[in-house]
Amino acid sequence: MSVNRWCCLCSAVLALFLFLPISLAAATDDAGRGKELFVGSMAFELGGAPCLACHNLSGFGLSAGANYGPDLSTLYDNYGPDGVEGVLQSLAFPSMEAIYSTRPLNETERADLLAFLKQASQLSATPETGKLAQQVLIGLIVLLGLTFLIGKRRMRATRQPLIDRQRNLINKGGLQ
Amino acid sequence: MNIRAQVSSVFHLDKCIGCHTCSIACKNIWTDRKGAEYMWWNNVETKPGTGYPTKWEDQKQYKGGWEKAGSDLQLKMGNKSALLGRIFHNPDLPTMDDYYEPFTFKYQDLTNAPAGDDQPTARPVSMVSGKPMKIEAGPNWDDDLSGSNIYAANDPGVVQLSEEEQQQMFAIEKMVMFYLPRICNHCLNAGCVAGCPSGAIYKRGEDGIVLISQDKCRGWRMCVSACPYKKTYYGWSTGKSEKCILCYPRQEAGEAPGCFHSCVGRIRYLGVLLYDADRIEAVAKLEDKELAAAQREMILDPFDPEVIAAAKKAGIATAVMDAARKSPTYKFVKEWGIALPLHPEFRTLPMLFYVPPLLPILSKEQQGVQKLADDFFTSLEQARLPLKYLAGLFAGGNEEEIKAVYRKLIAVRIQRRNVTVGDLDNAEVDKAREIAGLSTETIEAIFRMTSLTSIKQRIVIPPMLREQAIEAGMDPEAYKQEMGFGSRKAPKRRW
Repeated sequence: MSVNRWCCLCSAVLALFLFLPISLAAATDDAGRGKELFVGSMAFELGGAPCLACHNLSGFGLSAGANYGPDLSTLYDNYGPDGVEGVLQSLAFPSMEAIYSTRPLNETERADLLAFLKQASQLSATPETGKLAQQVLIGLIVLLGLTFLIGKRRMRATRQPLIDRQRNLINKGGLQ
Repeated sequence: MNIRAQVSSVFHLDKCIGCHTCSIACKNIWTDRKGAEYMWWNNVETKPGTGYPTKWEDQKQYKGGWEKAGSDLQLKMGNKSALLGRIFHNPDLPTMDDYYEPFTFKYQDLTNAPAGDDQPTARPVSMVSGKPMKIEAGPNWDDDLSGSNIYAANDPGVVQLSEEEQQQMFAIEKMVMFYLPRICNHCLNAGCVAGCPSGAIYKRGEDGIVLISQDKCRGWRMCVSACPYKKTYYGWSTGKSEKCILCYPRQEAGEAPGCFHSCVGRIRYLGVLLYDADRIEAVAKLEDKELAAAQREMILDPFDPEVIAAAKKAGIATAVMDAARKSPTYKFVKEWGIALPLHPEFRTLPMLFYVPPLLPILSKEQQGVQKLADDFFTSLEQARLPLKYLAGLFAGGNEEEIKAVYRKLIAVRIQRRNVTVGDLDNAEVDKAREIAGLSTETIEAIFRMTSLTSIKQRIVIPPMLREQAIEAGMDPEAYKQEMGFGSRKAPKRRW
């Protein structure tokens, strides 16, 4: 039964690693609201999908963020405030147009998102690949550990080890 | 007092010649089917040896039988919740290699092979996969290998002996072995019954035969690990577990079970024993060393008027009581006290008893005179097998039990030697009898039962009274058409 307990404990630890980086603090300023819109905890007025559904932004951990669209971590740095504002206004990319042509973002939403993206670019300009690698490594070790523990419950042979032990003794010259 | 009747057996190990006729009889009757090839409901092992399946006696490996958990008795494989936790994967089972992979030979290759320079051969193939295989084990692979440094040396009973005792046992000029035929013990406190999650295993009320209902069994295989004797087997073709049924269909027709009937050495005795079911739990909780004695204490005297009255009240038929009074097992187990249960320390209260093997005695000659009675128990050298080994097998480690039986067996042997050869002092015969605590008449009775009985005296099958049991539930004519061999019922699905 102790093996079962171990399995439970390990999966709990694994889950903790995956979800820890998401911070769920509510915010009131522009950037805070922008973050909530970006993540999807606050809905766009006209019902457009939150950015995080398709894009990634560093700082949201492993389970959040997607890679359907490009990583937006460096969006603000690359386009500047005007560029970003322009993009948010039209969203004229083929895959986004289908969603946002009928559900455009309103002005305050655009301003909030811009503030958030600006803040995000200031906080960490580059995606944290080192942290990601670390998390993957830990996950891998936990998974391997689980496999090992489950493997320990397999049936053990009785007869064959007796024969093998004797053969080893003979090979070592211990017995004739 | 809660009296019940049990059809129980005695195997006389000094008489077993290890011919495996019993195993073959059983195989031909019951397990000659796909999925059952590897099962030997009856098997004969060489002792010292690891047996079948390999090291079945080692409960550290297989976790069979009961253990004491505080004041309670608990299956060694764990309590109910532990059982539930491993219901889809139970690691405490023997693997196929521990039984053996059943094999046959491609005999048709001998006649069908195209003409060529080489003699055609019949290659061994697995009866499970059908593929060619290397035969590396069998149900009696270690037959007669009493000195083998793989099988005999790893006997769980030998391993617990001291280095000195082991050396003595395997000294080439004193090499010793005996055969241990094993069937299901039809225990009073059966582990398989307690372990079954489907409630498919039951002990028949009227004769104590333990059976697995093939309708209810769902193949969880908990009985395989719960039985310390490894006498339930999983049939991989039917997906159900099976075990020795003590040939109850034969017994109901008044015939001896197949293995009993075919026994060449006439080592097998069968008869009814009466026991007090109220005492099962208390007895099963005793210390290892007390178990062999306490279990025989539970068995009641069928001649005692009090017992007869209580049996009548419990609904045991008078015909069964008559059979109990003629029972040879009662004589061996209770009256003479020379038969012991196998591994009573597993606490299942097995109802198959063994007369331990005395084997040819190594007697020392001193100035031309053989001293048997005096010397036999003063030194361990005289006994062929270490008493500790036998005590581990038949008495939960209590050497006094083995000594008591040996004293009786040696007294029988000395008295008979005096009668047939006549080369012993009368004083020595008397002394042996005195040490054993037997009368001349009892010794004569033991001798007669051991060697001069007919099958009707050795095997006293009680009337099973199935007619009455059937009539209570259904019309006998309908029963005749619906039941018996070949009847098939679709399992009742509960989902």
